Amino acid sequence: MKSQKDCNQDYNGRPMTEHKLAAAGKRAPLLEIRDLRIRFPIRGGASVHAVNGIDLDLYPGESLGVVGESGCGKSVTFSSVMRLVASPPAIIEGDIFFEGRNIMEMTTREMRKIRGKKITMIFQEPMTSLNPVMKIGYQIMETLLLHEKISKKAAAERALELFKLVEIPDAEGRLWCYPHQLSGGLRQRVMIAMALACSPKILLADEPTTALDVTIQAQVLDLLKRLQRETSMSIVMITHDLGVIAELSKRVAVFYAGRVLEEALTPEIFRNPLHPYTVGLLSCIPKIRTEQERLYVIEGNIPDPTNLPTGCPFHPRCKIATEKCRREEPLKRRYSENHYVACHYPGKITGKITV
Amino acid sequence: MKKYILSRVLFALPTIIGVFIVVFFVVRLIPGDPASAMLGPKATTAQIEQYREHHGLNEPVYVQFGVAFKKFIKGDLGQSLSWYRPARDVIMERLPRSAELAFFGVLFGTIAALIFGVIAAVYRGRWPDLLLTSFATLGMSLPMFYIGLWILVIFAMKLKIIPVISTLGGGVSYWQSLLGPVLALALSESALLTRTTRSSMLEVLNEDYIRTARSKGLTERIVLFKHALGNALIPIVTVVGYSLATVFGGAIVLETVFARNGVGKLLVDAIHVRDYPLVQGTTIVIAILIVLINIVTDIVYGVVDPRIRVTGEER
Repeated sequence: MKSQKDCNQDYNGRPMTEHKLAAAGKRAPLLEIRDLRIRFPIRGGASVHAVNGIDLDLYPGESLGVVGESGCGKSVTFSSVMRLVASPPAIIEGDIFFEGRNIMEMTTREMRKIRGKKITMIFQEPMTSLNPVMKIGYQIMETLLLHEKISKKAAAERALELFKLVEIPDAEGRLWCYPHQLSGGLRQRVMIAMALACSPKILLADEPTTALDVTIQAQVLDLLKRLQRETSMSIVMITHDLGVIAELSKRVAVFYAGRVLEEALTPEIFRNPLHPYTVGLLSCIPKIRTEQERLYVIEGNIPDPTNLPTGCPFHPRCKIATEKCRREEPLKRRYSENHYVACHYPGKITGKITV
Repeated sequence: MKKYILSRVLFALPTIIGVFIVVFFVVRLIPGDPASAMLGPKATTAQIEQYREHHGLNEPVYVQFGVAFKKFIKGDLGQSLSWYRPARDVIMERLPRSAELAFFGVLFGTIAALIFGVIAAVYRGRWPDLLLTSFATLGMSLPMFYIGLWILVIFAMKLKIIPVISTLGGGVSYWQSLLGPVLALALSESALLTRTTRSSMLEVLNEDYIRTARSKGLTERIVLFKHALGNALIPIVTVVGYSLATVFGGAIVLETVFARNGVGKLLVDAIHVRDYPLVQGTTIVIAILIVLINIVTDIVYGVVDPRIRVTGEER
């Protein structure tokens, strides 16, 4: 395990927490993930190392974008915030503090009072995330009846309000529909309504638009954007689409092989990416205006989670990797105000890579 | 919905008529004839001839069929040769004995299987699962009569809490007479259903909406029994419907083992004495019951899963 001391120092050797507090206007974080490690044992004594030491903070009212390729541990990290990762089989280490209390040490009963009330989650697959044999209105009421002391009638009224809030057309008529009677976009709206039911502190949105049509994606993004403006909740937007991040999030964390490689305010990441992986990711976005024959790709594949590379997890694909990168894992440090990066040579590759 | 049920009943009619035709000819293929079976070995040729003439057994088979079929259409199952009463009355007298056995057997078997199946799915691969699935495999491998015999040995011979002969009267209460056969039936029916419930639950537990249900903060009990089991019910309903339908076949064996005067035992006895009308009648009644159970099963599908609700309803 890497030393906590290094981790808390920036590139100038100053303690990191000081800067973070300064950056966030001295607000205490709502959610603190500390050195989270999750692995799934498989046959033959090996393990799938899904999450390998994540440190991440989420501040009240903030919208954080989490970006990374498939299998980089972004979903499993935030599922474990809800304690939805079954353990066993998973082996989970580290701490997750919510409002100052450690989620990992809570009883199931305490955890259930947070799930669906304080922290809620919407998922990638709206088509399969609703119970097909229950009326959607009832599925929303279920959350309300569980966490709030209200009558069935009041819950039904609140469900209708929520339907209107998420702009479901013909809300009264749709309330007592079954999920299969709705389109994917509407189902995702229902999921969002369900997640908003008890006015949560944190909304974890796990690729909420990935499975939707492009036009519907835009509508759902607009909805999330509006909700974020109108409510005080923190939103974590988990996605592999940098465009979504640019739309919605104030701050970005770049995940790779179960680690955070770079963390900065959104404009900063787009303007001045420091990690070679982030630079590569940004270069992958096709540009219509330039006369590009071929699209840029980052060579190679994400590392095998059962057999992670030594040193920097990105070194096998990195153009500027040195012996040091192969040997020594770079720790996440402060580079400039609101900009953190885990690289031995931050900013050595800059701008966009073109083919 | 009414239209659907009506059409299902109409479509079932050819099935029932088909069963009647097949049974009519098959019973007559069994060697031996009612006259000699009824009158015993000491009967003279003249007596046998008289008996055959009286009951119309000397007519050509197609004439006999015509007569029986005409009666059947009118709802008359003919005169029982061994009971000297209308076959329908005899069957209706016995039917409740079988129905109560089938009902309680399948009811308790289903309740047990649902609980066992959910437990096995939740503890997949660990000892409760291994215990329950081995128990289920055992229950599926053992013939029902064998389970019945063991129940007689344990409950009637050793513990003496049920009678060896499960007929009412003589200090035997209603529930005592039912306990043995119901237990045998429930054990044997729950075996297959436990496995069905387990595999159906395992499939459902991986679904996204189970994760959604957990993310709402629901207790595990509600997640399992409301969200998961509610979705796992389709294959379970199929098996329960199938069990209810086949239970009347199983009743033949069980009622013989426990000496219960139900439809199953009636059929066996009727075959022994070549009581043609009673064999036909019993078989037809069982066939009608199976058809009805299948229709009910199809309707129940729509209740447990709104996605396969009968057409004609609003979307």
